[in-house]
This record gives sequence, structure tokens and C-alpha cells, in this order.
Amino acid sequence: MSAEEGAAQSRLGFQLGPDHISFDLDESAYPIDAVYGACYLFIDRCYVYLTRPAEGRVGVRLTAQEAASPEALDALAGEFANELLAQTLRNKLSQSTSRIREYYTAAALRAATSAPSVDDLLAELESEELLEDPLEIMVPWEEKHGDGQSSTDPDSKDG
Amino acid sequence: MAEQSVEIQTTALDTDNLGFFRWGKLGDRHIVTNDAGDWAILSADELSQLLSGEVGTGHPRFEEFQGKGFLRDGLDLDAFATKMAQRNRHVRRGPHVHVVTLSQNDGAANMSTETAEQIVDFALAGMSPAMSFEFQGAGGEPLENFATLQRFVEAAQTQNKQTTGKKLVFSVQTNLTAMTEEIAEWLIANEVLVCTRLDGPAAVHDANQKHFGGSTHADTVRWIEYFNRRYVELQRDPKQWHVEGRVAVTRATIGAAREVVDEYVQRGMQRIHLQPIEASDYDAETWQSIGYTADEYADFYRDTLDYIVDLNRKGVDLAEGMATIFLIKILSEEDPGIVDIQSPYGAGTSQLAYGVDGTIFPCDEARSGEETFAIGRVGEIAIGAIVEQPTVRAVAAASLLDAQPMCADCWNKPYCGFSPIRNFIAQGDLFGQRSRCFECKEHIAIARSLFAMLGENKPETTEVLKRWTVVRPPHAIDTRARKQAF
Amino acid sequence: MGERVAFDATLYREDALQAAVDAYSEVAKIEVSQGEGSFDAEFTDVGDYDPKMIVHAFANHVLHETIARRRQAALDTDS
Ligand code: SF4
Repeated sequence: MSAEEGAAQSRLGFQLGPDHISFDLDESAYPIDAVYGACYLFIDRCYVYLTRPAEGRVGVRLTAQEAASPEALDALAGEFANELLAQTLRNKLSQSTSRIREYYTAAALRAATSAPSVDDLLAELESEELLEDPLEIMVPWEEKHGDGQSSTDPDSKDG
Repeated sequence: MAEQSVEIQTTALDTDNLGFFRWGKLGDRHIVTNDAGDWAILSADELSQLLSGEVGTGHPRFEEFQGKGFLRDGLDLDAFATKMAQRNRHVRRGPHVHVVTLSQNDGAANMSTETAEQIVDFALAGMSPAMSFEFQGAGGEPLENFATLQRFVEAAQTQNKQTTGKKLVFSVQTNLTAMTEEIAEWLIANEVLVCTRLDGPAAVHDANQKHFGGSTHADTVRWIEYFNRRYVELQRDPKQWHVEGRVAVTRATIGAAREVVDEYVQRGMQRIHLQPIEASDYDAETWQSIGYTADEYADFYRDTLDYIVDLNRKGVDLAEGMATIFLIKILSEEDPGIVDIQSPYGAGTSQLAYGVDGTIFPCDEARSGEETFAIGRVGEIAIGAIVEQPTVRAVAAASLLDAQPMCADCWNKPYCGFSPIRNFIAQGDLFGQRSRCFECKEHIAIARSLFAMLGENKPETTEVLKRWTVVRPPHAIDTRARKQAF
Repeated sequence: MGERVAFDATLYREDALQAAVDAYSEVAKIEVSQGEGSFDAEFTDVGDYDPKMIVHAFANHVLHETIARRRQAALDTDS
């Protein structure tokens, strides 16, 4: 990551303007999807503008939406840099696991959208009712209050 | 001028041995989640060990990470897929929440009993073995049209007994202005649950009344006490039978958060549902006096949730509604199927809404975009054909978190969802910009607060949060009312 | 002459730029022309708005649209 030429340097070596901070990135180290991912997280906080200073490089300019000190602009760019690193790692992990994800997503989709029979659905519902307290935290109402056969329990409705 | 460089230290990534997961910062720790909804909270060191492949058999968290599929070694893809499918299985049941608008614009239009009967026929023909019918008003009070409510419930119960045999649940979102003892007793006898707005102590509730209308604090509390007393007299389980309350959060609420919670405790409420108001519903001047930013809301939510959990640790029994929805997703393998907190969005697949004239909408929010979102009329279309409607498909496609730039990478994705229809209303676009979206900030604040608490590993806190996940019928989990019903 | 801004054609999508022009049609008059390796937008008639602010906000909008459309296109290709 390098600063643009021709202006005062920020503490972190980015180029500082009166209301903006700029730097450029090497696309071979930071894939464009990671750059976009980081930009997206910043577009509600500042104005983001991208340029192509040279083949394989992306210029990033972050402009504050309100007056900002050089320290604040530095901090903004520092945060962007951290996010960019995280995005780069996510991107790589996403690529290296793409086949795994394709497999389980397709399998889950098949299972979740297969047309169920009414009996299947009823069995599912039954099992959910049995699991009504999946974490076994609640003392059952029946245990606390006798037989619990109140006809007014919504779960005891017909059907 | 010489080129200045700032190096970012690239953490090593062991791409050959890792499963897929997402991560993000949680204070000074990190949260890691995967597509099946498993999660773990890691120190910074543990995260870099995981990423760089240093978590091997001797590592203290090896088995945990392996079991959660963060490592490729031993990853059972079919079991993983089954877990994902389990979370989405409500989708194939078809619409199970039916929001029925009984009255519109202060009674200017009311649903007829004939339309009510048509809706019953239409809805009960659906696949879902359990259905929840929620009666609302749109800029009006549903109990103003009580005769239709009665007819609806009777028709549904009779038809259900004779034919479909489903499990039916009824609830009414009422501001209580039209409540009488006669109506109350009918609702109790016919097992129609009552949900209302209680914004806190009198000072806050009555100050809000000028924006939302509805009953005064005194009347609201009087009716809450009436119903709760009658349920006790009839020996009904108070966990199932109580008035559900929601808070329309305004600037006044933010300034009196603890007093609002204390009011719920004092009234013996089981759950408080904090519901932000939406800027698009108010003119600029009103919003200036009652509105807030998403960040202010997030701070308010976190502090209020802390306070509620703290009271629970001291023996109070009060759950927060949105936290409950997220906790069910986080702590169990189920998904409560809440229309706008799932991906894809459940409009038309989990929920349907009906206008006073029987117009079908994919969800309750869609009623305000009448022309754009209407998908037909009862009597003219079969419930099984709803899912094929272009509107339903477009809304579902727009809501897929995988297609959203920020969501696709977000650690909260397994538990989250958003409403394209709300985006359309607020931003004029079904997709919207996540980073500008209020509910994105709300959802991340909720999940962040909950994981921060779970990450403390304090048994008394975890027990409180687990207790909230005990499954309730859907109407009781999601007691929010959209803008028409305030 | 109004404000001008160039959007590099390898970083911004043309359809994203057009979507942003449509979204800003009530705020400013924006003419788009083809530059060398870029799409150039020229702003006139920004009314009472600060022209610099409009250009910045517009650029954010184009970037958002570009990112969202790229993601959607990638998913469409996958499926
Ligand atoms: S809406 Fe926000 S919190 Fe939810 S998954 Fe998307 S980015 Fe994350």
C-alpha cells in the first residue's frame, strides 16, 4: 500500500488532503473483491472514490462527510486498512472452500424444499411440540400445577 | 517524491485445512460463525491460530472447532447440510402466519363477514399444519369491527374441526380503545390472545399517545390487569396466557429506559418487545422530536437489554422479544420463521396479509404499497399458487443475504434477515444499502449484545438467555406491529 | 462548466452509473460521456445543493451500485 505522491504525509504514510486521505493498493496483494468489500463498509461513514493510477493498482480516496482532523482521517484510513486485510482473508477462505459450500448449500436446499407430505409435516410438528422446551429449562406447567388438562391451553386445541 | 509504503501484516491463512466460516470483532475478542449457525467466541490469538492452521489435536479447542465444522478435518458435509435444512424447514410448510386487516383508516373501511369467510377458506387450504391468525387494523382499530372478528374465529374453528384439523392460534393487535368487558370475555372464552402497546410509565406512554393514538396509560394498564387476572382465575398457564406488550421506542423511551422496563416488571408482564419507530412514517419535524439515529438506538438497546438480563438474574421473569427471536436461532437448531428475520424473507412463503377487501399481500408491511405488492384477491387465486407469484419471487430473491454485499461476509448472517419491502418504502429500492439500513444496525446490535453476554460464560446469565428460548407459538414470539397497527 | 468526475471503466460499471444518474435525476442534471477508459459525469443544475457534496454522494452511489451488481452477477453466473 503506498501513498500518492506530492503532498504532506500522514502519520501512517497516506496522503492527506484538507478533508480527505488517499492511498493506493497493489491488486496482487489485495484482490479487487476485498477492496470493494472494505469500501462497502465505509460508504455510510465517508465518501469513497476509486481510481486506477496504474495497471494493477487501485487508488482509494476517503473524504470525510464533515470536518475532520488529520488524526481522524489517519484513523479512518487505518481502520480501512484493517478491514481490507480482513476482507482479503475472507475472500481467500471463501475461494478455498467454494466447493464445500456449493455441496452443502445444494444438499440443504434439496432437503428444505422437497415437497413434504402432510404426514411428514404433522410428524415434524409433533416432534417440535415434544421439543417445546429444547433446553429443558422450564419446569412443565403440569408438574407445577397438577394435571394441566385445562381446556384453555392453546396447545390442547382440537387438531 | 519517494513512494511511501504502509505495510499491512498479512496473517497466514491455512486454506487447505479450514472449513468455511465468517468472523468479526466482539470487543477485544472475535466471534466466528458458520452457515449451519454454529458459533464460537475466540481471543485474538485463537483466531489467528485457527486461520493459520495452528489448531491441531493438542490444541485446547481442537475438538470444539472440529465439531463446529471450522476445520476441514472430520467435517461431515451431509450432517452439516441436514442442520442447515433443519433451520429452514418451516419454508416448505407454506404460509403459517395470516395477518387479517379488519378495519382501515379509523373505520372508513371494514372487512365484511363474507370476506372473512373467504379468507378462512383460502388460508385453511394451505399445507401448514399450524396456523396463526393475527387481527390488526390499518390506521384503525380491529376491535371496531368485532362482529367480523367473531365470525372469522367461529368460521375457522368450525371448518377446522370438520376438515383440516390444523392447530390454530388467534391473536389481536389492539390499542384497547374499543375494548369492553363483553368483548374481553368473548376473546378469553374463544382463546384469542391480546397484544397491545404499553410504552412504559404514564409519563412516557401518554406522551407517545399524541403520535400513535390508542388508549391512555391508565386504560391500557386496567385492561392488561383485567385479562391477566381472568387468565389466572381460569387457571391458565401464565407462560401461554398473558397480554403481550410492545414498546414503540421514541426519544422519550430512550431517556427513560429503566423506568419503561420497571413498568413492565411492575405490571407482571412476561415479555417486553422493544420496537423502533421508522423515520419514513413521520414528517421531518415530528421525527426531529421523537426520532433517533440507528447508533443511538443500538446504544439504547444494549443498555436496556443489560438491565433486563440483570433483573432476570435477580429473579424477575421478563424476556425481551427481539432477543428471544435471535436467541432461538443462536442457542437451538430451530428457526422461529419470523417473516423479516430469515433469509430468504418469508413474505408469501411464511406470512400472508389481507386487506379489508380481501386483497392478498405477501406480508403486513406490504399493505402500505398497495399497487406495487398486491398479489390478488381471495376467491380468485389458490394459496398454493402464491409462491409462484412474480412479486413473491422478486421479494424473496432481493432478500437473499448471499446476494447482499455486506451480508454475504457478515458473521451475523446465519441469524439475520431483512425486509426488502421496508427497503422499498424507505429507500425506494428492494435491495437497499445495508450500511444505511436501520434494521441492519439494529440486528447487529442485538446479536452483538447477546454474544457479548454469552461470551462472558457466566452460568446465571446463560441460564436466563436459554430460558427465553423456550418455544412459544409464533404470534407470541413476534409481537411487533407494523406501522399501520400502532 | 459544472463539476466533472471520471469513473474508471475497470472499477465502476456503466449500468451502475446509469442507475445512479436515474436516482439523482431530481437533484441534479448529470450528463454522462465516454472518456478514455472511463465514464465521465458532468453535473449541472444542482439547485441549492453544494455541488461538491453532490458529486461525492453520487460517487458513493455509483460505487454501491457497482458492488451490488457485481455480487448479483457473480451469483447469477454460479447458479
Ligand atoms: S443485515 Fe446487517 S447484520 Fe444482518 S447479515 Fe446483513 S450486514 Fe449482517
